[in-house]
Amino acid sequence: MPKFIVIDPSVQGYQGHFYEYAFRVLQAARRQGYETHLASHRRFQVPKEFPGKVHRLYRCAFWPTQRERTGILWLKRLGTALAGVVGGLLLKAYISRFGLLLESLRYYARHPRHLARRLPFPYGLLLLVPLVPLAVLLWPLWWLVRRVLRFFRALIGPVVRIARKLYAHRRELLITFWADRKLRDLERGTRRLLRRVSLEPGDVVFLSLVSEAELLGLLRLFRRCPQARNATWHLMFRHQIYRPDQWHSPGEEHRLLRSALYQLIQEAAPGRVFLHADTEDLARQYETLGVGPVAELPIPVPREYHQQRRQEATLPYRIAYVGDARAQKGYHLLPRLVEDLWPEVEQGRVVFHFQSNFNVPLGSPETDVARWQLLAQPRRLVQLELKPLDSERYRRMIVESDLLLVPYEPVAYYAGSSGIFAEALAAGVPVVCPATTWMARQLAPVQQAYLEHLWPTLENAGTAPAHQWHWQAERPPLSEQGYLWLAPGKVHQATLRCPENVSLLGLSVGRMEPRRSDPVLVQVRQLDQFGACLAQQTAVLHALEGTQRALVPIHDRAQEVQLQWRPAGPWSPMRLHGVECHWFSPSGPQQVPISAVGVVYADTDEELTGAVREVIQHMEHYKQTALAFSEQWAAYHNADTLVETLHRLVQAEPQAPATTETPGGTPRQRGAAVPRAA
Amino acid sequence: MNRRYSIVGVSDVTTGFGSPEVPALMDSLARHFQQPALLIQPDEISRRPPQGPLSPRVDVEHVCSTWETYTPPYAIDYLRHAAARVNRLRPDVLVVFSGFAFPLLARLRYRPRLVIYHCYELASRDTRSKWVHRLLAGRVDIITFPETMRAVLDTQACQWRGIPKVVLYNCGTELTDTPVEPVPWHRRNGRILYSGTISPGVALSEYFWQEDTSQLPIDITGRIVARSDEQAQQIAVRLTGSLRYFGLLEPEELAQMRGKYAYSLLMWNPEISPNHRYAAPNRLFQSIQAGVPPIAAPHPQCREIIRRFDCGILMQDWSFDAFRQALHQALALYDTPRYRQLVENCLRAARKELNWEAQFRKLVPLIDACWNKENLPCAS
Repeated sequence: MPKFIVIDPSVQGYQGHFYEYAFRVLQAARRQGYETHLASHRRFQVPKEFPGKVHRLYRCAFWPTQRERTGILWLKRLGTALAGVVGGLLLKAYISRFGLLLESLRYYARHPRHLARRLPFPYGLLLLVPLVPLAVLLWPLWWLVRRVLRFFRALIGPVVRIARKLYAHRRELLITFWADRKLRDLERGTRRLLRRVSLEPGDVVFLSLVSEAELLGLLRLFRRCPQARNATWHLMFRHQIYRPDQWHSPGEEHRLLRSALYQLIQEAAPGRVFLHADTEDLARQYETLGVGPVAELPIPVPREYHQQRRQEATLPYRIAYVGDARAQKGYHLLPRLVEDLWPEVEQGRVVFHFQSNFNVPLGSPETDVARWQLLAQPRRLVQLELKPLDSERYRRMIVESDLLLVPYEPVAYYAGSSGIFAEALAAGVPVVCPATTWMARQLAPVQQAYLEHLWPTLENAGTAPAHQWHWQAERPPLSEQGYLWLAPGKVHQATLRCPENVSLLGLSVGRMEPRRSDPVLVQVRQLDQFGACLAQQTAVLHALEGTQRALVPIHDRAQEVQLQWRPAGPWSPMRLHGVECHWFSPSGPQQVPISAVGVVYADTDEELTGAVREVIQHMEHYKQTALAFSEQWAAYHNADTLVETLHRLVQAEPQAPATTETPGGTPRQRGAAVPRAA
Repeated sequence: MNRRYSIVGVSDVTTGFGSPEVPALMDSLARHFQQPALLIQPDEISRRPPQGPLSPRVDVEHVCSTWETYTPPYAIDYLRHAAARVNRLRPDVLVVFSGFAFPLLARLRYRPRLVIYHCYELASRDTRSKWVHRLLAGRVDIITFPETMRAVLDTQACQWRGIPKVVLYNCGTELTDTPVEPVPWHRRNGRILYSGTISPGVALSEYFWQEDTSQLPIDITGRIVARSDEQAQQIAVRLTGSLRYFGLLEPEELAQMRGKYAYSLLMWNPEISPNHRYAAPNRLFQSIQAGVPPIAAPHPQCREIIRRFDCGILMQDWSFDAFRQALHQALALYDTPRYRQLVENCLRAARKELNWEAQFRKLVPLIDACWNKENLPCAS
């Protein structure tokens, strides 16, 4: 029986994504006839129902844990306690007669004319009289001590300077030490694993989280242990290597990663190493390193999320935030959101349910302040989970919510996946997430399909192509061929008069070039007759096939609309063909939903509350579209598809690329084994 | 003086001249615990000493000083006296206002059952203040802030993570028996009121006497702060014509006057310090409570309040163009149905959330939990 081995030194306990990930993948591998093994951290206590044999081998997880920093923390605490005692005494002495005397001497030295104002003060000077003979005696001694101290300072000066430099760069140093320790540990642990489990052709080894350190550890392993070459190795990358504002081409900071990857592939047998990422954008980023193809793998969402999905939303709607309370995940935005939506809470339409445990002791300043603010709210309306959740409660929290907030920081989640987002979509829960992230790109095709279907049903009250708009610049960004030219880093503003009795503004773009993942953002500001901004919303147009559309609800007092066009990507210009704006009249008493499955916002400060309100107002629509989308989403994002994909790669010829259907129906290039250089 | 006080507050300012949340918090605590309270306050030469108790529940004790206001000897002298008084009274609840009074905690000879620190100035403004706040953090049970970002900055700099904290808007009302009634929207004088420090650069007061804006109906009251008397005189000379300067008014007089205006104006230069950028002005709330829509620069709290309650006009940024545009926009919509809506929104917001009772309610659960020594989720 072929073996399927998951290597994940971060599996230390039952909670958290690492354990869940390994559990789901091994369960699926076992279903597909593999003999399953997990190589985990030494601390991992194996549960009875674990689907496979567990080898507890590693000492270092991917990230250093609290235990590894115990020594540093103790040192810190000791320092703080000492400083507290000494500082307390000093402060006490300062707020006393003694301190007053010192400060008053300093004060009168600076303002001698004020001495006349204060009659009792000269008596205070009498206190100094006994100090005079003492000072006469001590002064030569003090002079000598200063000389000696100066000599020693000159001696130890360079040492102090070096120590200061090291202290200033302590973080980088610690990371380097940690990475070195980690790579040695991975190599040692995996060698021990291969002594226990012999690898045969057809066996699969899957490393579910890889960085430079893991690659170097594997490289050592391949050099010292030829048996490792028998199996196929699947390496999963989950961290982005470029920020959205960076040019997506390797720089010096990527040298170590590329060299490690290249050498590892050279060291392995041909067709034995496969590179993977869990999003298409990440795969594209790693491919720019030029060492070989990187395939996208699905996220192993458990089937239970889809099976236990709720068929309808019920009042009061439960708005949830799931995951650790981290500033990067937008936890600090929640208090303001709760206050903004308080009218809806009072109407009994909305309650909140937020997971609120910190990922580090005491949290970060933003999350600490936010959590105290949330704790001041009534508990029956704002329910907080202050402890980490077990798998069952975590799943229940997602499945039972009516709207899931994913207000992540767009820079940090530009290309990386979110397991919580994937689980919510599998459970048919509408989501609110930021534009220019992987999450927004997943929603784009289904939202476009909805708008394409909706567009002909709306009552058109007028259409204006881009050349009829009033552009603010002297030279409008319109070419003679009629396309809109968006230069990177620039904002092009056009103004339009708002016709009477319209309820929606539609923006449509016939074709966008070049086809790339970064969208075009159109900030729509609505002004009243006095020039006051009534509302602001950003329409997001993705560079997908066919006509792209976006809808913006129009305020009933809006007289003028300002459209600010800019490409989200900072580097390459974009050409937009067939740009038009459409005015739609209200077709009924209610505003139509502007999107489907979820809502994407671009400006956290201005638009997050509006996005959540949009979903609340049309909850039934968003719930139904999310449920419909969950079918295709869950069909792709599950552990069985993941294992099947790996299995197919193993069966396939080393050089032949495999192709898989994606949920949206577009065939994507799937992973091919990385060829060795000749 | 022989009265037994269970609640004692140590203020950093002489009350009655701004900072209305100081007496308001003391009064609310006295009501909450059903016990008399005492507020100890320093002797600011520019403000007159109190003439009697702040309210039936709150007495005031004025610590006279011979030192120049806010110099280090003045601070030490005040803190020594205040600490001695607190040690003698041994109250169960101690409230410390602002970083000026905070070092007093080092001189306490006992641990009060509840220590509340009302941190309404940025605690992390300099290294010494940061150090003192870090050192004495363990002696505080609850910290209150007037603004969220200030809370974040101070929590980071002073290592206050895990200490219960709450953000209370600066909407304390003066403790008076005869609150000022709002003036109906159609009986306003159509002018804009600016009350506060007149200081070019810091309060962006130079915007008033630019060619475009000096013709607008703006009334100005407050202290002129300048580098020299000559410069102050030059500024006063420029506040003429359509601009009317009323000098420094008594708080009661200003409160009576405020309600007659169409708008009130708020702005600071955000580049001066985080205290200015993350401004938490009680003038904003006083103006809203009087039903006078504010015209405010986009300081985060002003922006949040005006957006949420749709109760004023927000400048797009801190530039002169944005200032001028906002003023013209405000004057254009004066006496229109939209203006009426703004006034109504102000009064509604004041009734609902922007009042001291609503703010104090946020603090009550934490007070009860700390008082009863309940386990609070300080860490997970």
